[in-house]
Formats: sequence, C-alpha cells, structure tokens
Amino acid sequence: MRKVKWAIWGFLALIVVGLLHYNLPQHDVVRITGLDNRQTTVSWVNKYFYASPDSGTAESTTNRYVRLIYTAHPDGSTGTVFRNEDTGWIWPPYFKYDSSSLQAAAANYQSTDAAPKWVQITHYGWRIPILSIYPNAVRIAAVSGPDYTAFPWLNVIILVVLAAAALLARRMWLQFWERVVDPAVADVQEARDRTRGWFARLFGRKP
Amino acid sequence: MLQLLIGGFIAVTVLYWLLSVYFRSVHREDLENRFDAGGADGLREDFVRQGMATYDHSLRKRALRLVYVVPVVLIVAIAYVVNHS
Repeated sequence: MRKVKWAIWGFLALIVVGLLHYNLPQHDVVRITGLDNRQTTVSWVNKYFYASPDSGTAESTTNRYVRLIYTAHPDGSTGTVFRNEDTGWIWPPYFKYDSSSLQAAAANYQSTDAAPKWVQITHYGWRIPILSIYPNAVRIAAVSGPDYTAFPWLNVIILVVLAAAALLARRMWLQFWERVVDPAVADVQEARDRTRGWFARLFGRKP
Repeated sequence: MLQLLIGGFIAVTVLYWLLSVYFRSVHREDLENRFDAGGADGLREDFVRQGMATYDHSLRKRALRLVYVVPVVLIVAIAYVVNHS
C-alpha cells in the first residue's frame, strides 16, 4: 500500500515537472541556418503540441503550414528545429501573435558558418522527432557570442510564485478542514451520541 | 480571445471567492483567539462580530480586488514583451 502511494505521488510529481519543463521559457544560443514553411499534418497524436486551430497562424485542425527555423549549435552540430506559431490566448500563456514578425527577424539573423551571427532563441516545448513536434520560438535576440549565457531569473520568479501559491492552497485547505469539516463532524458525532442516549433510555439500557 | 475573457473572468471570480472566504476565516479565528486570551469586555460573539464588521471595510479586504487587476496587467505585460520588443 505504501509503495502504491509513493508510486502515485511520484507519477504526479513527474507530470508536474514535465508540464513545467514543457511550458516554461528556455534559452538556446544558436546560429540560424535556414527557414522553411512546411505543409504539416497535425494528427490526434501530436495536436496538443501545436497551436490550437483558432489562433492566428493555424486555421485548420489537420493540415496547416508551419513556419520552421533551422539552427546550428555553436560547436557546429545540428541544432534544434524550432517552429514559429502563434500561441493563441489560452495555453501556453505567451499570448504570441507576431509570428510573421518573428520569422522576419529570424530571416534577418540567418547566417553562414563563415560569418556567424549568434542569437538567443527563447522558446518553450520539446523537439521529439517521432511525434514530429518542435519547440515554439517566442523571441529572437542577437547576442555577443556563442558563449553567451543568461541566468533564468524569470523562471526562478515563476517557480517561487507557483510554490507560494501551492503553499497558500494547502493552508486554505487545512483552514477549511479545521473550521468547517471538523466542527461538522463533531456535531454529527454529538448528535449521534445524544440519539444513542435517547434510544438507550427508551429501551431501558444504559448508554 | 473571447474564451480567455469569459473563462478568465469565471476563474478569477472563483479565486476571489475562495480567497475572500479563506481570509475571513483566518481573521475570525484570530479574533476568537484574541478574545480568549483575555483583556476584552463583553460577549465573545459581539467582539467577533464587531471585528468582522471592521474587517469588511478594511483596506486589506479591499486589496483582495487586486485578484481581478493583477492577471490583466500580467497578460498585457507578457503580450507586450513577447510581441513588441
């Protein structure tokens, strides 16, 4: 039983960590090598990893053009392929509606191995080839060089706020339990004891 | 967009309600404990009722309306940073 309990908690923790890792912004320093606008079939397998049909860049549920950004890592290896889609207004909450402008910026930063322009791409999501899903690029900014790093302050702030919210939710739950449920349970028990006493008297037994 | 407005309004209203119930409950418990610690005259119920009436008009209670303001500010700020900078 304890093992089952721990397995369930572990599973839940894995889901939470996975959701956070998928949705929080990440930064990659890369060189943009090419752009593409690829006709893509979005199926039931991977539809949750693409923009919802009612957001700006996607008008059809199954077939759509998806803007792609090809990149290379500073060490010369092939980098991630990013997609560039509007997020729409619900989830994930990036409220991105400028993917055409972002594509223009990406085109502007496109460079060759001989004369590299290094950029930092802010993105969320995962690249999983077998599902044909790509992380969504949110911002592109030129950086000083391939070794550029930035401390993820925003992620720290978001995680602290989420932890505080979870703590508050727990305290609210405990307060509810202490002030509403426990007194109600006590009332019921008292009432039952009283009824028992009454029955006992009625039938001449000692309570 | 409409989905965000309607769904967000409902979600924020539920959150506002939950938080207001919670903070009222905490305040009431605090008042009860303060009375039980001694030093106050009169009935316990009156003491608590009076304290709650003061609380309902307090700045802290009104500050809870920020629950409606903060998400709007956040959404505008995120949209601005993502799309216009």
